[in-house]
Amino acid sequence: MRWQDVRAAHPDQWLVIEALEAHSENDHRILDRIAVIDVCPDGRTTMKRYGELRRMHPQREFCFVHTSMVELNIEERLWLGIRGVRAADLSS
Amino acid sequence: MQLIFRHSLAFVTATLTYEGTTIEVPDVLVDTGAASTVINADFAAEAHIFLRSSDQLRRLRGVGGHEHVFVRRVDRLAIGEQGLDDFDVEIGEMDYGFEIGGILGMDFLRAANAVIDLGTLSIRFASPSP
Repeated sequence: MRWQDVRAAHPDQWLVIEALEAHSENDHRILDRIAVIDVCPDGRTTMKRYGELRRMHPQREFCFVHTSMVELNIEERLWLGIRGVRAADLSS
Repeated sequence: MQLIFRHSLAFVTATLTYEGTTIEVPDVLVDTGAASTVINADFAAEAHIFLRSSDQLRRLRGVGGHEHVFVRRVDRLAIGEQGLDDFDVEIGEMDYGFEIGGILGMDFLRAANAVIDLGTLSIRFASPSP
């Protein structure tokens, strides 16, 4: 699905979505093809669900979103540092 | 303020104020390799900061992976007596497999004139240069 189709199918809802195809452009993450994974009651629950899914499937790209956004606007920042490092790496 | 040295990393306790509520955020990593400052969503929730539909979404992309966060302006973020008012922080799940309350990034450290002393394992704040 594209974002407009996601919005049409789930108006005014909190969702965890998965980027099936995505690319980075001008410091933004552009989701070209989207799958809706879960519908959640509020923002906090949506983030929690996002965290669970990420833990289970670290290689997949999930996002928490609300469909009130007309355009899906996700800024992107480059990170160095500990992003993605696990405790196992730290204690070894 | 004393730094806590763990996993060969330096941590500190921060205080965050948002709409009249002040909370302590323990285990905040002092990280000059991080451009921005992140607060663990569990602690942000104590200050009644929850994801809203109007929040700016952001994706942090690093060598080891990526993480989605949202951005919220807090009334104050401080280390001891020293802090910054009306400061933008990123709120994330921060599920790294160990206890972490947040990451104090270069945006905060530089704006607050932080001096990190790894000899004495302490952090202090210089007065701004004239």
